[in-house]
Amino acid sequence: MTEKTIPHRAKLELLVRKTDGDGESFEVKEVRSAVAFVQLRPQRVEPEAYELAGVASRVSGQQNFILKNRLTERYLLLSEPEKFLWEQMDGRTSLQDLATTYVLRYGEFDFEIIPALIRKLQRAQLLVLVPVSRLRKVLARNRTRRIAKMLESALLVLERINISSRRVDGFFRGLYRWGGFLLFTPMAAILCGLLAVAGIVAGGRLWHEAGEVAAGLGAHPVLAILSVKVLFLLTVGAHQLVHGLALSHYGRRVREFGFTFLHGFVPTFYVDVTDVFMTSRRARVVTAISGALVHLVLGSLWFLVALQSAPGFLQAFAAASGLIQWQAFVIASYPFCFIEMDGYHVLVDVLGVPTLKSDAMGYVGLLLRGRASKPDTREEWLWIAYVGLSVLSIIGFIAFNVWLIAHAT
Amino acid sequence: MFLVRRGSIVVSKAVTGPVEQVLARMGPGEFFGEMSLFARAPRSATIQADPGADVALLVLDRGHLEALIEANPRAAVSFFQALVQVFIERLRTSSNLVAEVTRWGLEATGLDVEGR
Repeated sequence: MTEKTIPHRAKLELLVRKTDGDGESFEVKEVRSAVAFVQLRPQRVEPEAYELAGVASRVSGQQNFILKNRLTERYLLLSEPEKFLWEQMDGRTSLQDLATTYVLRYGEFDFEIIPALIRKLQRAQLLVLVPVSRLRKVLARNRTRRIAKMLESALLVLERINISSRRVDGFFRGLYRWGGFLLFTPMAAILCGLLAVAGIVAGGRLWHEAGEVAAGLGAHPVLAILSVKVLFLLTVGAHQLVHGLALSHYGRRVREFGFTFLHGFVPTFYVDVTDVFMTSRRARVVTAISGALVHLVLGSLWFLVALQSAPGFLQAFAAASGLIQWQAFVIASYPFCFIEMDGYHVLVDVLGVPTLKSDAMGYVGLLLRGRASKPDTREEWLWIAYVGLSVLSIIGFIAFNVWLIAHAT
Repeated sequence: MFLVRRGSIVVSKAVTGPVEQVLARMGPGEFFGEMSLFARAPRSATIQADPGADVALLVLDRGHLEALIEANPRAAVSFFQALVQVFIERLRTSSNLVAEVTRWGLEATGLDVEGR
């Protein structure tokens, strides 16, 4: 039988200097890690540096919260107990007191939640264990020293980097004021509905003459494909612009707008609308849907143009553009296809389950490997339904394309 | 280089403000300040007498060491061998201190390293 050694707490020996009436002296202190930890007094950042918004889940009935760091633009999802602990972190309450308060409130001894939350908050720069403002005070006091001045300037430059994103926001606010607001009126919604109906009618008529319409591309197929693609790319830009305008409509900030190569090779525009999480569910749904509706409207308009045009290149070009726009609308709106497009975001928002895809994939993966219990809760059934519908949708999409190719040939 | 003849001293290194970390304590027969003797490097730590301790030190400077090497090479070799033994021991102590400080940091911050 081996003898187990009881692990001792690690300790640091610190020498602390003091200046008193008799001159300089010092004392040596032993600081044990456990003592240091429970005596920490975490302090959340100043009230103007963060925002807190509630998110209710309709599936589990849980109330969650989104905490935003206004300076670093970082967002955290907090559970109700985590939000309670966050509210206690006032710089006066030690971790020991925090743990006591937690037990009194929830009757639980799951203290791991406290260090886990502290790590999370520290990563998001929402917690001050050594007040940051002290550094700024020290730097300001020592401005005559070159190194302090350089450090202060470096901090200012870092802050200015955040201003660059505000320039994008100003552009969107201007665009909203100069006509963008019209897109968010009841009249625009009615017009959108009418155009959708007209588009369906026009599309249906064009479908009957599909062979004749497609023949118009015959003379310039490469030109047609390239111009349709370029035009489509521009409409992706319009899609993102409308997302940004929706954000301005709800008084939130557009953090970034740009152009990138998705996965390194797909050219696309993007807009960062994370700030919409700080507002209502309705606003989030409208923001997500409004972008996809751009493709519905443009698709309908292209179909109407094609219907009015004489057989030839223009008609074929307009019909192909309309088809691509409507495809884009369906892809952007459809939530069950394993990709996180606008429709998926609407779905998770309506359900109040922001991590639906990863949770669903994780659970079904374990279930298939026989490492998860049989579905019992509403959440588990939801995960199965999401994966099942997504698989069926992809099978349906492949089958439709196979049928289309077979039909065309 | 200084040799402690009597009393005890504390070796520490600045951490922040008036706080320093205690690296070692030395008693009679132990030495410090060898860096300036061999490498002419500035001091890397602060040495001070333990509060209330009566400390007496012996000094060995470069001139005395060179004189020893010239007058009695065998004694000088023994001296350097003993010195190397002490350096090895100090290196081992430093490594242990780094491990202990790391452990302290992990315990103090509550970082869940094993769970990652």
